[in-house]
Parts: sequence; structure tokens; C-alpha cells
Amino acid sequence: MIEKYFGGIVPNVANTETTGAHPREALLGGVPTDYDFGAHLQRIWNLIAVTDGYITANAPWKLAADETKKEQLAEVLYSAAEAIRHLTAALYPYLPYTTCKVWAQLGLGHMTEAADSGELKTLEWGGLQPGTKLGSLGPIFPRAPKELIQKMTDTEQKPVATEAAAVVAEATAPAEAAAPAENANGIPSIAETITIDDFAKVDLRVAKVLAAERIPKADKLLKLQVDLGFEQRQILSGIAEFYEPEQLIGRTVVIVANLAPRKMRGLESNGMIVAASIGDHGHPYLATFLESLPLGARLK
Amino acid sequence: MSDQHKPGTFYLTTPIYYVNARPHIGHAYTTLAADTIARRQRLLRGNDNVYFLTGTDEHGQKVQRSAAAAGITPQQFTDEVSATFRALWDRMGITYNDYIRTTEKRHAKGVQALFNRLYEGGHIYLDSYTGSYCVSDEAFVDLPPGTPCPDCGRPLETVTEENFYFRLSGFQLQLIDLIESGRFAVEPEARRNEVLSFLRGNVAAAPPEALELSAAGTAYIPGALKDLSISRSSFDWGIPVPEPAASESKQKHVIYVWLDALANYMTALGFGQDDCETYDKFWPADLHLVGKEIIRFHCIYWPAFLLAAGLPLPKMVQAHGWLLFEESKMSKSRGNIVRAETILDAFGSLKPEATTEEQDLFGTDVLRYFLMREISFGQDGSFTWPTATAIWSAALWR
Repeated sequence: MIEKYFGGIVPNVANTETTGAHPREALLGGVPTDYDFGAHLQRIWNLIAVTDGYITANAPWKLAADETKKEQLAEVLYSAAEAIRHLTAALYPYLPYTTCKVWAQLGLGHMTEAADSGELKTLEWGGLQPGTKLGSLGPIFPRAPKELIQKMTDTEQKPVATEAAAVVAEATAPAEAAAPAENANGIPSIAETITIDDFAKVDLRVAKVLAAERIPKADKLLKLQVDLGFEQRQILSGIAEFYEPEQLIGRTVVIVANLAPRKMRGLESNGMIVAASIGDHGHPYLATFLESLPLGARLK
Repeated sequence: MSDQHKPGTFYLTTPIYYVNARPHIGHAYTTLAADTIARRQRLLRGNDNVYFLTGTDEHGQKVQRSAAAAGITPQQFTDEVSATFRALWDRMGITYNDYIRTTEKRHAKGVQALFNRLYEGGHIYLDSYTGSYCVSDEAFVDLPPGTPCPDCGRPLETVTEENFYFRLSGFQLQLIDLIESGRFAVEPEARRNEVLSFLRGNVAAAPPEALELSAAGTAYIPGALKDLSISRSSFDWGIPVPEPAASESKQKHVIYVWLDALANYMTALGFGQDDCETYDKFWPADLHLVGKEIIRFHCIYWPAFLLAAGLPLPKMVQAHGWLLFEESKMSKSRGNIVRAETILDAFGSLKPEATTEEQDLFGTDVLRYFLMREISFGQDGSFTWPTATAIWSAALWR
């Protein structure tokens, strides 16, 4: 968006140190020296969600449409870029290749050199210089094609074939026609064929989570308020074991909007959140979009 | 650990990997964790104040037998396997500062210097011993011959050797006190308890009058820690016991592989050699990262050697769990060894336009993320392809 609205230059703001109160609060703190890597990564990922929420809540694409809000737009985008700079530094020890790419995209040059010099030890909020020219933008993570995942999953079934060449060669081969009902990893096979009319009966919509809270005495359910743009709804979702309520606030999700209402624990649920279900315990991963979309948009 | 803003240096090590097998994902796990820690420390202290060592352990009877089975010399064998490890770390962009091989001259020189220091201090004596020996673990085990080794399950062999012994027994109380007080930190707690109970002996089964108390007030059995044989004469693929000790025995001895291997942490820095500037700057180590199966060597033998030699102890030994594959331990016999190369290639292929180097580094990031995020450090973790790919798709691709 900085590319689009400010010609790829980090926008000028009156006072860099006071911008973006929301992501800023969450980002203070240093490089941990303990060895609980998982917990640290979880914290960083929560901060990414906070930053996401900050951007969504401030809707820069709306600010951009209003000439009088140019200053506000500059502040939001500056804060977002600054938050990304902090998150990138925090992630560097874990994902050196990826963070180096992001660092260069932020126009900050060689990340490893900066890290090795010790200058990132005291990363102050507001340290990103307005006027910094962003580097060339490109996708950081290519999407994993389904066939590759399937092939690697298959590989597990025949450990003898885990040699590198075999996997890569097979990964590009067309998927086999006959799939088992369900393989041992719990990845279900494709359901029976339906027509386009069958699919059209399911009304999938883009929504944003406005509020999320736990329900007393229900370990698995979260109570969500979601915004469809034209209306708001309450949805109960069985994801409480895997998501913290605050992680979800501001997040864009996909809901089944025409599911018959049903009551759970005495509370009404109007719809369903769409998620991938992974593993024996059905670990859910909520579907979302990379792009900013108008709420209520239908998936077809 | 609140030494976040402590000025000064940080020296960390991986175990040196035994060259009896090719690297698998378990080795990669340890090395990636160490690389992550090294990068964190460089963020905090700057590049010049951090030293990260890895390498390969190349001596011992097992290597000699494997080389013979392959029809090549031990040196050719270790050259090949050590190069495989190093090539993998280079593909993965591991930022090690030095790569030590125990067959290097600089290492042999340092090990012999350490041996002599122990010998001159009166900590080494010659004696003969008949007992059950595990060839695979290269250790005597206090069980009848023919029974399976409690560590690896292979049958124990009867071996009689005239050996040089290290007076390990004299360090029992000192080690208990150092570990109990935290001056020599052993993490996680489960491993610390394992080490302490080995040091204390079977306290529960002993009569009260056989017990004494440590400084912290815990009971131990004096004498429960036995002296340690630190030479072998049944094979010759190792570092020779140096003069003057060597003349004491009619047989030719090589130095016990664990004394040889553990010393790498100092010899790589220049201990016992002409140029010991790096040693002076970085020793003692701040962190030895180890797998839980080698905790006893690192938390009993190693600090005892150092105490006897009058050298400072490392500050911390941190053990991690085993990386399991689908809940069972990876092993060659089960045919369930996952290789890091497979994962690099698979994920690297997602960036067909990138150079090979970029593909490797990208694949490494995916692997790093999975291992660091999903596996609770210090406990056993499991590698499964569906989890790896699910994690990848859910978290990274956004």
C-alpha cells in the first residue's frame, strides 16, 4: 500500500515516536535468551495478528479515498511498516532467509550485516526513517501446491522413498487417479461429485471478527461477533482449544452464512466459520484472504 | 536467564556428530537450534563476541569397523562422512564460526596437552580391568557379558584391558555441589535430576550410615562414582596416549574416545596450541547444546576432567529431546530416517525461478520454523509430513 499511495517511499509523519499506539505497545521487549523457542514464536505470531488487526481496524484503503485524511493514512502506513520492521528483527534468528528478504523490501539493506553489527539490539519504535525507499516487492512465500503436500504425505507411508530426488520428481507428476478412502494420516479423500447447483446452495461470505470471548464451562466453544458489512451476527465456533479470543479480533474469516441457526449451551449460533481441519484432533486453521476485501463479499 | 544486556562474549557448541552414519533430521534439529541461538546472541552482542562451534567426532572402534566393512581406510571413511555433514550445514546457511574434526592435528595436540595436564596432576593411573564392554557405546557397563546394553540394546562383550584410569571418584561431592548450586547449570530439570541421581548413587537402597550430605543437604553415597577408564589398547583408531604416560605400559594405548571428543570444545579454540587467542577470549563455553543421550558424558566426565585440569567449567549444558518420526525413534534399522536434504529439496522446489542456493535457504526456513515452533525444546518431538506441511501452509503463507 505504501507502493500504491506514497510511490514506494515511507511516508513522512510529524512524530515517528508517537505513531501507531496499538502495535507499538505489543512490540516493546528484547530478544529473549531462554530456549523456549515455541513460546517466543507464538508471541511473535500473536503480534503479527495484532498488527493485522491494526491495519484492518484503520482501513487505509478507506482513508486513501478521502483527500482530507492523507495525514492519517500516512500515520497508519508508517506504523504498519514500523511494526513489520520490529517483527522482522524478532523473527530473524528463526527465519534468516525470509526476514532478510523482508528487510530488503523495507529498504533497509542487508539484514545479516545489521544483525551482526549489534545495532538491532536497541530497536526503538520510530526508528524507521520517513523517506526510506522500499525495495522491490515480490512474493515472500510461494503457495505450496496441493500435489506437493499430497506427495510428501504419501512419502511418509514409504520411508524407503524419502530420498530427495524421488520426492521432487514425483511432486511434479500428475496426481494418481484412484485415491484411498482416507489415508493413514487422516487426510480425507475427495468427497463424491456434486454439480455447480449443489455448490451454489452454500452461501459463503467474507466477514470480520469484531469480538470474541470464551463461554464459561464450555472448553471448546468461542462466542464470536462477526461483521458482514450489512449486518452483524453471533457465531459459536469450536476452536477455543486452538485460538485465543484476542488472536481473532479484527481477523477476516469466511463464514457459511445460510446455515440454519442452532442453539449451543443456550446461545444461538447463526452460521459457521470455515477452517481446515488437521490431524487426529482436528486442529482448525481458519480460512482467510491476503487481500483486503469488502465485508459481505460472496465466495463463488 | 536474565543476562540479556550483559556485555561480553557468548560461546556455544553443538555436539560433534559421530561419523558412523550420515546426517539425519535429528542432527539438523540440534544444529538449527544452535544456529538460532547464535543469531540471537549476535543480535545482542554483535558478531565479534559470539562464537559458534560444530564439527565431527571421528575416532573409535565403531568407525574403524565401519571403515573396514566399507573396504576403505578409517581416514577415507571419516573424510567422506564429515564432508557430508559440512556440506549439509553449508546448504542450510548455518553460521558456524569453526568446524572441528577430531582427526585434525590441532585437535590431537590439544587432547594430548589435556591428557598430560591430568597425568602430571596425579589424576591418571595405570591398572587392568576385565569387564563387559559395549562396542557401540564404547563404554564399560556393569552387567554380565552377553546381556543387552541398557543404552543401545546390543549384546555386551567381555574385554580385558590394561588401561589408564582417571580418578573420577574424587570429584563426586564437588560435582554434586556445583550442579545443585546452579554454578554448573544442567537443563532441563529432568536431565539435571538424572545426572544428580547417577552422582549420588542408589540412595534409597543404602543404609542410613552409608550416606553423607551435600552442601545443599541432599544425601549421597560416598564412593558411588567410580574411576573412569580413559584409554583403549584393543584398537588403534584414536589419539595415542602421549609420553611420559605411554612408557608406563607395554601396550600401545589410544585415548578414550569421550575424553578425545569432549576436548574438542577447547581444542577448536586453540587450547594446547601455539595460538590460543580465541581460547582466551571465549573459554569457558556459555552453552553446550546436547542430545539427552549424551548428558552423562557432558555433565559428569567433562566437568570432572576440567576440574582436575584446573580449568573453568562451561556455564550451562542444555539437553534437548529426541526427534521422533511418527512417535518412534528414528533409526536405520527401522528405515524411518528423515533426511533434511529431502525437506530442503521438496520445499525448495516451490521456488522454481530461484537459484539453488536460494531454494535451499528457503527450504531451511520452512524446516527451522517447523522444528522451533512445534517441538517443545528439551522434550521429545515428532516429525510428521502432514504436520510439517499444515504448519507451513497455515502459518507461513500469509
